[in-house]
Order: sequence, then C-alpha cells, then structure tokens
Amino acid sequence: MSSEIDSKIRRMMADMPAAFKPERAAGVNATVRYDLTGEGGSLWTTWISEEGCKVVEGDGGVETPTLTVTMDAADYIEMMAGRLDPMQAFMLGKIRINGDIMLATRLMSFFR
Amino acid sequence: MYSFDLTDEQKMLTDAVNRYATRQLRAVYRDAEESGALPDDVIQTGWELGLLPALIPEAFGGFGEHSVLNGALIAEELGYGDVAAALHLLSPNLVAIPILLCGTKQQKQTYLPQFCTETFPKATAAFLEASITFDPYDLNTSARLVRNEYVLWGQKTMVINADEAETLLVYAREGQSGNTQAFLVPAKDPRVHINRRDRWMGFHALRTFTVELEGVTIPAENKLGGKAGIDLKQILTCSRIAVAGLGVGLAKAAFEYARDYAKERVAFGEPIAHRQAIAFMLAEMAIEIDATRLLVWEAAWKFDQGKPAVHDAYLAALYAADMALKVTDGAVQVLGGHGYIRDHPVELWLRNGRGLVTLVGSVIV
Amino acid sequence: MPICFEVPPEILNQTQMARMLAEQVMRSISRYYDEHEHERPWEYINVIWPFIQQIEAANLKRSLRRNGAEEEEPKEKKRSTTHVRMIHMIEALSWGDAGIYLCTPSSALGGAAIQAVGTPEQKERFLTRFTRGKPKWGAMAMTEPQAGSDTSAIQTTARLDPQTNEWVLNGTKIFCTNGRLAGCESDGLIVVWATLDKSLGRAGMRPFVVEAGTPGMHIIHQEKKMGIRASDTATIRFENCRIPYDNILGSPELVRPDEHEEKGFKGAMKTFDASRPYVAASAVGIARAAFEFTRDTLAAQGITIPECAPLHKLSAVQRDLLQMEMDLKAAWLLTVRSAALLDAGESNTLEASMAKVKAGKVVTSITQKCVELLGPLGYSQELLVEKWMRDAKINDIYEGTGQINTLIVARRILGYTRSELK
Repeated sequence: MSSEIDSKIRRMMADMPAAFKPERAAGVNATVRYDLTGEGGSLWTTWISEEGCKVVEGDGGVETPTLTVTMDAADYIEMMAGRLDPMQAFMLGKIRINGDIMLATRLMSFFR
Repeated sequence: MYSFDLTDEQKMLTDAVNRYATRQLRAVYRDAEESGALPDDVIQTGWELGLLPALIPEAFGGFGEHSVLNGALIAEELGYGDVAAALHLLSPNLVAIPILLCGTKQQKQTYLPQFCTETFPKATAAFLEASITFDPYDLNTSARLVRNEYVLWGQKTMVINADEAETLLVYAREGQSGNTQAFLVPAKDPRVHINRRDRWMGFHALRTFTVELEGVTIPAENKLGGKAGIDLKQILTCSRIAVAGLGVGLAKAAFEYARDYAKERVAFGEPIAHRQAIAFMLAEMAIEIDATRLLVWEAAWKFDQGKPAVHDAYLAALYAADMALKVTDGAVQVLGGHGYIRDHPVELWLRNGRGLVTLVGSVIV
Repeated sequence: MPICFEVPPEILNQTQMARMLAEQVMRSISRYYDEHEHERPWEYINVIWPFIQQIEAANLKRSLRRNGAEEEEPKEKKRSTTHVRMIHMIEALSWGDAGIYLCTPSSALGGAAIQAVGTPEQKERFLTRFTRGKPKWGAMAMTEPQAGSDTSAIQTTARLDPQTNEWVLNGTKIFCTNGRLAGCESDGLIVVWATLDKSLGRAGMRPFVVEAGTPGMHIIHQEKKMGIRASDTATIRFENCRIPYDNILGSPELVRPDEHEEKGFKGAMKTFDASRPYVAASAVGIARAAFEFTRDTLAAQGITIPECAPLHKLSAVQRDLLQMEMDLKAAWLLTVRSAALLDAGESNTLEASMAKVKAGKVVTSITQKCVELLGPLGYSQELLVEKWMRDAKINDIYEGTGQINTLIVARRILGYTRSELK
C-alpha cells in the first residue's frame, strides 16, 4: 500500500514540470517544498518561475523555501487527481502551509 | 477537542468529597476554628474516602494512579468545605506525592504503602521558612554531606501536625549552589525540635508548628531521589495546582454564601441583590471563579498529559491567590456589618483567603 | 467527553493560515487603513473571500440539511468544531488587525439572524449569494440614536401595505458595522430590526431583510472612530423603504407581550450567544498582539520573567507582564469554553456573557498597560501598539456592553428576571 502511494507520488512529481503553465506565473520566482507525510510519504522541493518548474526529491539544498506545504501523502494524491478540492482540503484542515501566503493562494492556478 | 465534562468516575469522586465537605466539614469548622483543633473522627472519615491511595499505583499499595486533575477536583471540594481541614487532610500528600514523583524505586516501595492504610499517615513536610525573602530555590535550611550521612541545620515553619509526625520530608539546600533537595527525616530524632505551635491570621483549626533542625544526621539514602535528587519544579507544579484548586473551592463557598445572603437581606424595601452594585460584585466573583477553575484545569490536564505545565501552574496559582482574596473580601463586603462578625463564615473565609495568598506567594508545597 | 484542552490538528492548520495572513498581509497594511478611514482593504478582502465562500457554503448546506431531514440522529454523531474553529480564526485575524478583520466579506450577523429564525426558503434565497461571485457583506442594523443597550426602545417601524403585500420601513439606524458595504457597495443585505407595534416593546420587534440597492434605504453617514478605523460603521435611513412580504424573518403574528416567543426577539437574540464568543475572541487577539509585542520588546532590553520566581524577586514590570499573561489566558479560556458549549449543542448564554465581560476588560487593561510599559514608543504612531489600544476599546462596548453582559451574568447567577434586577 505504502509503495503504491510512493510510486504514484513519484509519477506526479515527475509530471509536475509539464503540468506547469509558466505564463500564469509572471513575476513569480519561488521555491515550494512539499512535505508529504504518513505512509508512502516523501520530501520534495520545487522551483517555479516564468521560465518553468523544476522538481527534485529531498530538500534540494534550500534552507528556507518560499512556501512549505505539509500534508498526508494519500491526501496529496487525491488532491492532484482532482478528487479532493484544494480549498476543501484546507477547510478540513488537511493542509498546513508555512511561508508566503499570497503565493499559497495562487499556487493551484499555476498548474493544469 | 476542548471539553469540560467530568467523567462518571470523576463525578462520583467529587460527589463523595462534596458530601463529606458539606455534611461533615461544614458542621464542625467554626467550632474547630474557635477551639484550635479539628475533631479526629471527622479527619478519620475524610481519610477513609481513600483520596490519597487513589492517586498511588497498585504497585505501591494504592489502587489508582496519579492524576493532578483529579487532585484539583478533590481540592476544590475540600476547599469548599473548609480550608483548614483540607490542608490537614492533604498534608500526607505533601510527602507521598514527592516520593511518587521523584523517589527511587526503593524509596517508593519502602514509604508509599504507609500512605495506603486505614490510619491517617504520620508524615508531613517541612518546606516554608519564616523569611520575607523566602525563595524555594534558595533555602536557608541546609544539608551537608559528611561521609555517608547528611547533616541538616535550619528552621521551618508551617509544618502541619509536626508533633504527631513520625516522618518529616525536609526541604533543604544541598551544598552552596542553591540546589534544593528533600530529605526523609525521622521526626522523633532528638535533634528535631518542635518548638512552638504557629499562630496564623486564619486556619486556627490547623495545627502547624515551627520546627528546628539542629545538626540532624540522617543516612545518605534518605535523600529523596537518591543521587539524582528531586525535580523541585515538578513537585511545585503539582502543589500549586492543588492549592489553586483549594482557592477555587474557598471562593465558591464565599460567593454562594454572599449570593444567598444578598437575595434574602432586605434594605430600602428590596433584597440587596436587586441593586446593581451588589449584583455586579457577585457577577464578577462568578466570572473570576470560573476563569480560575479553567486555568487550574488546563495546567492539571497538561501535567497529566506529560506536557510542560510549570508556567501554567505558576500562573494558575498566582491567579487563584488574587482571586480568592478578592472574592472572599467581596463576600464580607456584601454582608456588611454581619460579614465582620464570627457568626457568619465569611470573615473566616477572608482570613483563610489571605492565607492562601501568603502561602502561594511564598509557594507552599 | 472528559476534560480536555487539546486543539484539534485541523484547527491548528487552519489557524496557521490565518496567522500567516495576519502577519504578511494585515499587519503590513494596518497603519495605512488606520489613516485612510473608509478606504476598503481589498488586499485582505480578496484573499480571504474564497475561504469565506467555503465556510458559508458548508454552513448553508448543514443548515438546510438540518431543516430538511427528519429528526434522525446518526448513531455516531461527529462532534462539531465549528465555533471553536471560528474563535481560533477570529483571534488570529484580530491579532493581525481587528478593523481589517471586521471587513471580512461574509453574511456575519445578518446571516446569523437568518440562520437562527429564517425558513429554509429564506436561507437559500438570502445566503446563497455568499457562496459565490464577488465579495459581499451581510450586516445587522439594530442600534438607533436613542436606543443602544435598551433594544426595546427602537423606533424604526414596519408597516404592512396590504395592497402590494410589502413591508414599508421607516426609521434610522446607526453604528451598523459594514452597513455601507452590505447596503450599497456589494450585492449584500442588511437585517433590520423594526417594530410592528411600538406599544408591545420587545414583543413587537421583528428582523427584516433588506437587500442591497433597495430603494428607500439610504446610507447617509460613516462614523469617524477612535479605532478599528478600517471598519465601515454606517448610519442608514429608511424612508418608505419597501421590501417583499417574504423578507420578514420568523412569524409576523403578534403575540401578547408576556408570552414566550421563540421565533421572534428571543430566537434572534440567541444569535448573540454565538456572536459574543466571537467578539471575545477578537478582543483576545488584540490583547495578545499587544502583550506579545511588549513582552518581546522588553525581553530585547533584558527584562524577562524568570520562571516561577517568588514574587518578592519580581520587579514591577515583571509583575505587570505576569498579570497580563494570566488575564489573557483567563479571557481566552472563558471564550473557548463558551464556544465549545455551542459545539456540544448546549446552551451557553451565561458563559458567552462571562467571556465577553472578561475579554472586554482584559483587552482594555492589557493594551493600556502595554502603551504605558513601552514609554514614548508605546504612545508613538511609529508602532502599532497605540493603535491596538484604540482598537481595543470597542470590544467592551459593542454587541452588548460590559455592563449589559455583567447584568446578564448577574441575573443568571441570581436567578432573577429583568424586573427583579435592572
């Protein structure tokens, strides 16, 4: 079960740069960390800007990301698959964010 | 999630203690205050409620577990009955709880069972010193390690039932460092002098003594906690919460009495409770009592959950001390002239309320 | 449920968001909107609106389900955390800026009244707008120039025109929070208290919903205030303002003054049992802002509170800090209790008033003490502390003054009616 979650996340992270719409991220130059917890969890760091999106596993050498998103790995999968609305996830308290709040509110709009 | 309901067990416990407080303590407290002693049978009945054994694990002769929250609930009911009796009844806790929290396994096995029998334990603590600058972390009473023994010198006050005790838990400064430790001292040792009975503004029914230690020598293994010693902050946290609980009970008693009086007492053609000046005083008392109780409960809950509670307990005790004084003072005020005479309890409750402040300010154990 | 002080992790997560919003957005625009009264803090409004929409949608759905479904209790009723969650959010946002927090677009007190006594049809008709579209506001208009604490003295009238089946409102309301935002700057609404029959006092009062832009409703004035200057406080005049018959909340049937009327005045007064904890929470947020800033500033100067020191070792300033910390805790715990009772489905009138009294007192004493302790810095407009003291004062005044709430507490603890204790 845990390895299933893990492999799904890896796939999603691999797909992230392609799903990113740089034209929506004008003026943005930020690092976003995903701290996916629980079974099958892992840590990822991403860079997003007008030029595109880069994803690495781990902390990527970034000490203080612009934004850190912490949530259960299984919930992350649901969210990225469109089965859990990010706003809903927030209202249910399933997401913890730390960092630039304005970036956080815009984050979902950069993708798909 | 926040919740403020008592469990069924806690309800049974507080009901039992409340019955004891209202039927037994309230029946005798005024005479006890005037005569300077509590009736033995009332104390024995209180002891038979098993309140202390309920806080001690089975492994050491008890039948429960240590819960500061339960202790606070008990303290409130006892304080509601009579603070002097409460302190008398709780005085063995002053020895048992520190042993439970900080004792070595050997010490727990040796001493704790004595607190779980049918007879009232002859053990009490010697902590407070008669000094304006009393500081629990910088005591005047000293304990010096000489070969394999400790030698204790100093003077303690407010030692409850010292004359009847067989074991004294004496807090003393070990070495020069200001490090406070606790030592189990045989009370009947010839170098332990029970000098005189203390006389306080309140608590006349409580028998406390000034005790002098003149080079009392005890084996090194009588140091509580062995080489590691005690965690004084932890002990004080527990006792602060208990004292704060007493304060809540005392204040509740005073508030209820004043409220009922104000509803009966007629002046200018109406009960005085119809006047905002009086009604508002009572309302503020009620608010402060409830607020204090919440502070106490939060500190107690945190302690029982293993969360840091030192500062919360400290704040709760300070708040309770202020509140108890204000509320008991307010109660006397509501009763006017009648509040000043000893026919009514409120003057005693104010004197006791003031004592709670003093003892907490100096930090009673 | 046994005694417990655990904050559910979901609430901690949400409050974290609010805290970030407070720190990053609200604090950075605090001084601007304090100095530009009557400008709207869109930076905040636009960010918080999506979250409010969700909350409104969830509330509406739950409320309609409760109305629609038969009284079937699910076996394992999940314990609600709505009110405890709200007080945490409100406390965090008010820590940011109490005036800007009040500009939060939501159905607010108006929505609360509709939820309390509205029919399912009215709830849908009036509250759906808060779940979509552009930011909008709901407001409640109760106070009048001659009627503040004494709500039975209101004079705004509602007369039924039988030919058009409309209510015709006439009167003036003052001190209406978000009155202008709700009445003409958005597609919002205002719940207006008017009387069907002045001779009946409270028993003749009813709430009426007036939607934004209704002819005959004029926002004639915005108050210039001591604090919470970012908040819109409006005077509204109703001149033959006509609204549909169905805009009355609850039953228009007049009852004798001594009969109990759950759906009328009393029913809507229950909305204050929910909103008083919220006001108390806002007060605590302001107080905490001032306390933390003062504690940290003093600590940087070497003045800290040693842990568990005997009192004789404390300086006056240290004792002041301790006093503030204790008072803050006391006010917060009373507020938490009043919210938790609501979540448990229990009555909380006494506890809500207790919380409001204590919080109102505490926020005043703490903010004033902080200005004092910070010397010239405390008084200067270079810092926000002086603003927090100005923002604080209203909390002991609106939604039931400290005196009124003390009166409510007193009546409850004495078991007295209004005629026994005035």
